[in-house]
Amino acid sequence: MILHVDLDAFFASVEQRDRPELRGKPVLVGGSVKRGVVTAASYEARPFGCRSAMPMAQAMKLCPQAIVVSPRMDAYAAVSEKFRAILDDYTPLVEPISIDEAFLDVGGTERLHGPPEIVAAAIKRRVREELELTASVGVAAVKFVAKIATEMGKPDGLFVVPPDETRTFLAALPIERLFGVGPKTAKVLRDIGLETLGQVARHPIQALAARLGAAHAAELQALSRGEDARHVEPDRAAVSIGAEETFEDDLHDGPLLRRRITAQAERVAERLRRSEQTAGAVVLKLKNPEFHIITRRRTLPAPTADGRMIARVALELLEGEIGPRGVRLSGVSATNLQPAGGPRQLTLDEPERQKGERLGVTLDKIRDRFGRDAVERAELLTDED
Amino acid sequence: MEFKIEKASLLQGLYLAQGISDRKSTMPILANVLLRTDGKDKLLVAATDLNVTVTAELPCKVLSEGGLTVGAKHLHDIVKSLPGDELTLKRTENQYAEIRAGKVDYKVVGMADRDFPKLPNHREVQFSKCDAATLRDMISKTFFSISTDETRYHLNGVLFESDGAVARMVSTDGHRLSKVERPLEGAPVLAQGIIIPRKGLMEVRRALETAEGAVEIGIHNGHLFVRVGATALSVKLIDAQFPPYDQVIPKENDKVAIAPRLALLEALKRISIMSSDKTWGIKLALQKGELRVTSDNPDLGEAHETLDVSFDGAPLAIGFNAKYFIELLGEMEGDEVKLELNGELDPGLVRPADGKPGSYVGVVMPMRI
Repeated sequence: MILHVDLDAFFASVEQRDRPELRGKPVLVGGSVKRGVVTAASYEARPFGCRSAMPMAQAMKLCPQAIVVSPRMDAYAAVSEKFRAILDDYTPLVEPISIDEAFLDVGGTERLHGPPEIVAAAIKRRVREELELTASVGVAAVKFVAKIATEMGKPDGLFVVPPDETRTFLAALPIERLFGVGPKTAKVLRDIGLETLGQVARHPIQALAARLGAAHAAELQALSRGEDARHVEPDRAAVSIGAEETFEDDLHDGPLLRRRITAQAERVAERLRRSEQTAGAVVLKLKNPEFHIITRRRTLPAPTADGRMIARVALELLEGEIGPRGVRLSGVSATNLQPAGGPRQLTLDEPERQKGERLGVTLDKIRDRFGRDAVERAELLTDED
Repeated sequence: MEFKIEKASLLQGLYLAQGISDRKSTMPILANVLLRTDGKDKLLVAATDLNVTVTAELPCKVLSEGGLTVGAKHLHDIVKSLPGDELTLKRTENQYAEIRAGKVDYKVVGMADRDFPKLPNHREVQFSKCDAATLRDMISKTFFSISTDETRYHLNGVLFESDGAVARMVSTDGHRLSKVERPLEGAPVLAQGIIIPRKGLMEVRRALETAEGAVEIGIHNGHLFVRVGATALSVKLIDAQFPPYDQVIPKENDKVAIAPRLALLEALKRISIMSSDKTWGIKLALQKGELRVTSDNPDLGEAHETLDVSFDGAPLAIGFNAKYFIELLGEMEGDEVKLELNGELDPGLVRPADGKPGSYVGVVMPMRI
C-alpha cells in the first residue's frame, strides 16, 4: 500500500505556529504586494478564493484583510527535514515530491508498524506533537490514487481507498482530477461527452486514441481504472537547488542586480552545504518584463558548494543577456548535484577552493547560533544596512 | 588561371590546408583553400579559420595567371586519388575548377578568390631560426594537458616563454600541469610569455613533421609566425593571462620513489582496463621497496600489480587518474622516473629520474576515491 503525506498549507502554517498573533487569521505567504505571487495561503484565507501561485495583488483584492508574510525558506527547510525524519522511521521507501509532500511504500512493514491506516494515524500524531502542524494522509494501492485521497481528506485528513474499491472511488471523480489532464485535454474529453473518470474508463480505447493519440489515450484509460505502475522511488533526490526572486521594480544590469544574483548564489550554496551536496553546474534564469524566460547553464570545472564560485559563474552567464528593459526576475540554481565528500578529481587550485567552502561552513554555523542576520558578506550589504 | 603541378607537391600543401579550413564556419569560403598563381612557376596555397592561417608556395608551371578557391577537403581527396604524377587545374567559367590527370577529369564548384580573407603579411615579421626537433619535442610534451574547456579561455593553449637561450612551455587543464624547459638558441626573446592556442599548436606540430634542421619563428602583432621551408603558418595568440604556474608545482614533496618508467607505464595501462571509463581512477600504494597499482571497480572487478621500486618512506596510498600518468610517462625519456608525493590530497610530481631538475615535470592532482 502507498501513503501520500502532505503538510497542510505548509508555509502559512509554520508562520502561524511561530507567530501566535497570526493564528486564526487569513495569512498569505509570498513576495511583494505589488508584483509577487502567493506561495501559500492559510486555510482562513482560502474561503475568499486565495490560492497559491495567484498574483499577490489579486489575492489582496479577494481578501483585503489578509496579512502578508515574507517567506522564510530556511525555517521551512528545517521543518521539512524533521518531517522527513519522521517519515523515515516507518519505511526506507520514502519518495519526497516537494518540501512538504512525500510518497511512502509501506508494503511489507505491517508486522513492524501495523496496517497502513495505523501508520498514517501515527504519522499524523507525530507531526502534530513534534512539529505542531497538521498533515493530511491518503492511503491507496497506487501512487496517484493516494494523492487524490489526500486531497479528498484535507485539511488534517486521513482518507483510505481500499484496493478493491479503487475503481468505484475513481469512477465518480471529474476528469480534471487525473494527472495529465489539463484544460486542453479536459475540453477534448468533454467534447465527446466524458465528464467522469468512470466514463473514461469505459470508453472504447480506439475512440479515445483518435482524439488524443494512442499513447496518451492508453495512459489516461489505465489511470482512470486505477492502474499506475509507478513505484515509490526513494533515491529520487532533488535534481536541483535554486533561489529566485521577483523584483519590486525591473532591474537593469548594474551593481543592484549583480548583488541580488550574488545573494541568490550564496543562498544556493548554503542549501547545498546543509544537504551535503555540491553543484556540478550552475544555471542562471532571467525573466524580462514581457515574461520571456531565458536560462543559461554552465558546467563547473569541479563541483563546489562555495557561494563565491557559484556567484562568479552566474555573473559570467549574465554577460550580455540583459535587454534594454531590464529584468523582473533573476534566479540561480545548482544542478548536476553530487554528494559532498564523494569521489572526485581534485584541482590544482584546491587550497583556494577549500578555503571558500570552509568559510561557507563557518558562516552557516554562525547563523545557526546567532541568527540569519548575524553575519553577511560585505559586498551584499546595502547602504541602508 | 591554369597551372600544371606535381601531384605529391600539391598534396603536401593541401594536407596542411585541409586541417585548418573550417567547414563549420558561418563563412562558407573558410571551408575552401585558396589557389593563386605567383609569377611563372609558383602556386600559392592558403587556408584559414581566421585564427590559424597556413600558406605554402609550391613549384608549378603557370599556364595562365589568376586565382580561385575550392573546397579543401574535396580537393585534397580528389588529388590524392588521381592517377599519375602530374595534374593540371584550370579555372573555367562561373568559378569552376577543372582538374585533369591522364584520362580523369573533374569539374569542381569553386568560389572567387577575391572573397577570401586577406592573408597575413609575413614581410614585417622578424624571424629567427631555432631547432625544429626541439620545438616539436616541447610541443608533444605539453600538448596533452591543454584544457579543452572553452569557458577557460586562458588555459586553451600552451604558455611559451623564451629568453633567446632557454625556452619553456607550460600547459594545464586545472587537474594537472606539464612543464618542459629546453635550450633553444635563436628563439625570439620575449619580455613575457605568450599563449599559443591548441589548434594553432596542432598545425605547427603538423608543419614540423617534415622539417629537418631549423625552423623560423617570429612574433608580430599578436600572432605567432612559423616558417618551415616553403610553408608558413600564422597563429593568433590567446590574449589572456596564464595563471602563475610556479606556485602549483610542489617543492617539498618528501615521499620520493624511483620507478622503472616502462614497467610503470605498462602496469598503469594494464590495471586501468578495470577502472571506470569516465574517471580512470586507480590507486597507487607505496611501501618500502614496492609500488602497488590497484583498480577496484564495483561494476567490473579489480586488478593489482606490484612493481619493485626504490622507496624508503612511510607507507602511502593515493588515488589518481591513470590516464594523466600514462600520458606523462609516454612523453618522458630514460629508464627511470621519480615520483614525488606528499599527502593523499596533495599534488603529486613526476619527472625523469636522470633529468636536470625542471627540464620536464608533470604535476598531477590526486583523485579522492
